[in-house]
Amino acid sequence: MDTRRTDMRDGRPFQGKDRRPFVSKKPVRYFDAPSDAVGHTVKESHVYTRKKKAFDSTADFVAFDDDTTTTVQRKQKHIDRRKPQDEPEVDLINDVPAERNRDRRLNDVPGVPKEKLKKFNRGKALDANGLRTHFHKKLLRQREKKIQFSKRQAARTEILHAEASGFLEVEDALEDTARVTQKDLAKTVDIQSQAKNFDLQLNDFGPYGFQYTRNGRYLMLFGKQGHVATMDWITKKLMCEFHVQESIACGQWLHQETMMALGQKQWVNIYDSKGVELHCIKKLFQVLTMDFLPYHFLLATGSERGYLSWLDISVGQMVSQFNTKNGRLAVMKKNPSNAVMHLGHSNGTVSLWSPNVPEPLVKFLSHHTAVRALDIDASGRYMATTGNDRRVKIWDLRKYQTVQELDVFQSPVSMDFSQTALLAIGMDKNVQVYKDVGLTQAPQLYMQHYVKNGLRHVEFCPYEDVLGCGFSEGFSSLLIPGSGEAHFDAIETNPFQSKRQRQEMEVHSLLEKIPSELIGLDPSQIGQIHQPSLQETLEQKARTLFVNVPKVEFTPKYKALGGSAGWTKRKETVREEKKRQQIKQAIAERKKLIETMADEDEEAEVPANSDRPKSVFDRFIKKKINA
Amino acid sequence: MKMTSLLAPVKLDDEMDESYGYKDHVDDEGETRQKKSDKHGRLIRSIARLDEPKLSQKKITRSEPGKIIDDQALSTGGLRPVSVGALLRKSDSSASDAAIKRKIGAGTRSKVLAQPLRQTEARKAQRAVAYEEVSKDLKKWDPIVKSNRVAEGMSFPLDQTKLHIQTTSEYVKRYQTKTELEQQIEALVGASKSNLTKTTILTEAEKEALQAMSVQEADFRRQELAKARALLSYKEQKQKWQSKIKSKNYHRHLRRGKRKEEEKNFEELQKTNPDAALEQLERLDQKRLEERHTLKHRNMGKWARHTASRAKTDKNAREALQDQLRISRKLTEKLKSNDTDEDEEEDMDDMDEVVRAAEDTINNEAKSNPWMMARAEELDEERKGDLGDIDEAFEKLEAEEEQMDVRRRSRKESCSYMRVRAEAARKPKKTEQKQPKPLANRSRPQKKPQRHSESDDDSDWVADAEGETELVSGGEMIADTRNVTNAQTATPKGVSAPHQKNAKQSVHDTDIDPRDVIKKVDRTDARQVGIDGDGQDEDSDEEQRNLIAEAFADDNVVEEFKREKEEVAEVQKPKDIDLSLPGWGEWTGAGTSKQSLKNKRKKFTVKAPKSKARKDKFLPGVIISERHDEKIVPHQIKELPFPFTTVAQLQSTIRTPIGKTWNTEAAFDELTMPKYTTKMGAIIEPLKAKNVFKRQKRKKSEGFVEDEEISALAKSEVVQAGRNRRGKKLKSEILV
Repeated sequence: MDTRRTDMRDGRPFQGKDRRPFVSKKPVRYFDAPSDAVGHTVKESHVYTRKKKAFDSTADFVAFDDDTTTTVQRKQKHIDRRKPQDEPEVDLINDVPAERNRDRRLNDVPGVPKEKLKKFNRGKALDANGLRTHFHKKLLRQREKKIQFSKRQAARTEILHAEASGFLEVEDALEDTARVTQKDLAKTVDIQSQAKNFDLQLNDFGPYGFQYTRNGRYLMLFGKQGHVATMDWITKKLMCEFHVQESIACGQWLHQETMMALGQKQWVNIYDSKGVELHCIKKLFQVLTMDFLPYHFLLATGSERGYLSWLDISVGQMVSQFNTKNGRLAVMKKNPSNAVMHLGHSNGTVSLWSPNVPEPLVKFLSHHTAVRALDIDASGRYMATTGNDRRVKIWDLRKYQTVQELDVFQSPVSMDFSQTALLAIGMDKNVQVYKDVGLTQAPQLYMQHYVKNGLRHVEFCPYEDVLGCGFSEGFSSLLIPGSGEAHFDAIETNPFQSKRQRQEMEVHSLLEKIPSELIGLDPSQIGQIHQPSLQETLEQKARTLFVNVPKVEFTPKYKALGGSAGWTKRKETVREEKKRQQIKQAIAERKKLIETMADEDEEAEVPANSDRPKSVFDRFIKKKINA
Repeated sequence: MKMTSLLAPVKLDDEMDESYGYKDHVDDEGETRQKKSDKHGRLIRSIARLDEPKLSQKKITRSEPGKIIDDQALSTGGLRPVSVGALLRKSDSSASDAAIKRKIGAGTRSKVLAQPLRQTEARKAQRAVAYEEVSKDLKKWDPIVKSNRVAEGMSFPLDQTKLHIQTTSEYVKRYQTKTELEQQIEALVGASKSNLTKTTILTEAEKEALQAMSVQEADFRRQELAKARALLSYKEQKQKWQSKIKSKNYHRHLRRGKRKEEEKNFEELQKTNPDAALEQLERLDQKRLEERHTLKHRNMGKWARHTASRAKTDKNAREALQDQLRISRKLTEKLKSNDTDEDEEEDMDDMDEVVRAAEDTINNEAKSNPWMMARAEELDEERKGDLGDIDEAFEKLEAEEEQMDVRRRSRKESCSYMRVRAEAARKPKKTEQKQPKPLANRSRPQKKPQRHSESDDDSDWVADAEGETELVSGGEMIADTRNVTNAQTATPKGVSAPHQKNAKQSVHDTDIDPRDVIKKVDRTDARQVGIDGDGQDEDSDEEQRNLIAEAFADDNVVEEFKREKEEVAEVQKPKDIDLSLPGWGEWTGAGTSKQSLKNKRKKFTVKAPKSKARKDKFLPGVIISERHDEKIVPHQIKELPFPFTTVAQLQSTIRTPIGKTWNTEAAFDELTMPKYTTKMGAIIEPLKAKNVFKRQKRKKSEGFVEDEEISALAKSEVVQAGRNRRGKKLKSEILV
């Protein structure tokens, strides 16, 4: 083999093309071997991620608000403007750029626009400095690369989401979507959609409340005066119909269409899909409102007497039951993002409850009159409340502040957010649907509809462009284009599931049941370190390090040289030696501990005087010097 | 010869000389001759000896020239020891000697060994050596093991045959030209300039053709290009410059010109195609209607706003405004006057909007609340003094607008729907007027002059209506003094005495209690309520609203909430613990001081740790519980797991969900890729040095191998398995 040649740059022999040049006495670095990690070949210099200030796991997978993007875009525009106006023409003769482009097209994976990447921002990347071993550093860096890859992939697959929820749009300014009636709409839509627009005349036992199942396929109707019916509302196939011979205050589907709970005059009863009574829960007395937490298998109820309770329906145990001390609980909704219950009270306050804390997590004054209805949007960021003062307020639940206010001409009885964040407000005769709720611009009336009277409940059907209204003389199903989520995750909720799939899902959801202890305002708290106990252990360590060195028991075996005097002397020296060692170790550990604590402090540190305006005399304040 | 003589230096007399002498004449010339004579002499002697009696034979004697002559020990003498080798060398290589030599040679081999080590020690030594050897042997595996440990994924068995997809170019390469003719042809074809390669767009020939222009041609082309560019830039500049022209005159002319041209076109159209003309007319009418209906163009124009602000002081501006008003009135009256100046209308609209915005807020505020009616009138008068005749015009205008509104409302529409729209339309106006947004939305309370009217909902509008409060960087407020005085002097007639009192009081106290801000919230709400409170429905609506407000006036929700918040804060605040026992260390009777008691209490009180600021400190209407959720604690991590040194590091590793719900299929596979995979049914054998060090051996035979090289090679060999997956993955990425 005569392929050997000398590389003149470093004078070392170099062999072959693919072999590395020898490095005579370089330290062996096993962990820095270049790996063909994810996206190594992808050149994406133009793609970068902006670091978020704080990682919010709930908001992480949802698009940012437009504030940040607009600033970036604005900057971009600004740069564009500054470009020289008479750019030289692209010279065809000089084919270098063309060549480059061509290469990229051939070999590289196309880059992802950074706006799209931003939507899937996974939070602050790992800072590997300070990790314990090189080995772990290497492993965690590999992991980090995979995370980046997953982010890019997610952004890239966005293109596959071809279906978009379409709203009604006007062609010219004279038209208005709010003036489009259901009749008009039904004329223009396809037959399948037409079938979804229907009325049920139920004159005798109203006013009617109702609920759709989580997959939007089944409908339960319950009249105030005891009439109950469940059906597959799309095929209009009746599942069961019966009369409970009592008044019904509320009804709730449980985890599937096979079970439902009805809050009757005294107790809560559970029925199956055939209308057979399965349980009568006497612990839940005079329940006025119910909601079901599907991931926790908890049935939350609010009662006439002001008791808020969570019942685990998978084991039939009461998880917790609190007296809210705020009177009648008729207004209650769950926050879909963190499973916290939101209650509306007669004194105008709204309180947030978890089953783990016997007092409201947050309480705020939303209206000066009784709260009549509230709902939280699917992202769990916005809440709409309304009271007798006929004002609808949209709250930002991250800041507990109103973002929008809306006046309506009657006091609403029911409100519901659709999956696409349309807000339906039901008043006595009128149902109004608002668009752009929670956005920077004012909410706009999107559609409206009149029912006969005595409206009791409005609710959007999940995964369908349908709004249901239950009123005194029946039920009507309205078409609201764009209200349903166009993409459903069949593993999560499947509108078209078969019986087998349903059974399978039941088992899976039971296996994946989330314990109720994890309910809290911040759903990501489970992954967090419990700071106080960490602090405590650290402090304890620091304290124990200064405790007297434990006595060392050492007795030499033989007396050997020096007799008993030598024996004691040796004993003494060994003890001393041990002691010295321990002290040394303690000092070293303490040092390390202090370092780590300092690191944590840096993160947790919030300037104490940040709320105070800056003063000229601030320069005389002693600055903290980090050790 | 005894064996001991080998160990101890024995001097053999006769041979000694010879052995020493031997070396001397090794190189002599007459060596062979002497040897012969020696031989001969020896032979003679031996023959002679045969006859001699045995006794006469010379005995071997020991002569030991040592200083100390000892019976026991053999003297070493001062001489060098004789080696057996030397002796052997001395002797001839005859057949008889060979046996002796062999014998002696055997003797040398069987040296007397030192006493063997003890068994245990011997084993110890063996072990030590063996350990060293083995560890040296095993060390060469280190890099392999380490690289395997950090490999992202390994599939066993390791030496799987790698499948490789052959590309077309590779396939084509297999066929080589063989005959000479073929080679020649290939050389010719390859040298052609019109070959299109993969990397370039143009062939060589094409490039040349493009480049090969005559000088004149090139120059001409260059000039042409330059000209075109220059023209373009002139045009651009001109447009830019034209768009920046502020002269009204110029624009008026421009517009006039445009209009004339349009008219001309229209006339022509009327002649040629009356239907189309009619259509156009209709379209124009429609457009106008639309404008009037939607108030699309009624934004606050720059000019109108500017003039309105100047109108207070500048006479000319006031006149201009009046002019505008006149025109506007005319416009609003005559619906069909199609040929009025459009731009003028626009300007008018702008101005109109400014005025209306201010007016609306005042009037509606007044109308919304029956208690305020009287005051609104009074205020109108006041304002008249300020704005003079311009106000009259406004009023007229307003009356007209109201008529319009009534007309508009007479259409069958839901009033609330209209209201929302109107409100939406007015939103930007509000912000531009620097009207304070609902205070609940502010994270921190700010100083506001309006706060003097905290308690009475009625007197604060003055400052608001003018909208001249400004927030200066330092957080101080600069308010129009006139407004403030207005607010101070204009005590409303309709307001009851306590209300007035409140107002006065609040004017004087200047510092703000952040907790009191809640009230402001509803004040702003109240203003929003009556933004356009005309039309019958609206009126009744407002009445109803007021009715409700009145009905609920007694249950002071705000006050209650405030109290509750204070209570909660008090309960959740950590408190000092007083551990002092009554009576202990106390003296009673006359002359005892209370100071000592105090001191004692102080001494035995455990101070509560300084509590952090409450989370809801700056949120007046919110109580956020500081109580810790105890039930989550067992589920949380209490200590930092091993490789991490900061909390942030740990949390960044668990920040990404790995489930399919949040990841694409490819990413999910990647994130949950098992560290080791095995092929079903395949035997997993231990690593074979033969395979791993294959190349290394070859290198060794080549004669230059270094440690680094070995490790690198070995690593690459092993990691190969892991890389197979990478290739697959990358492809999937491309596919997606």
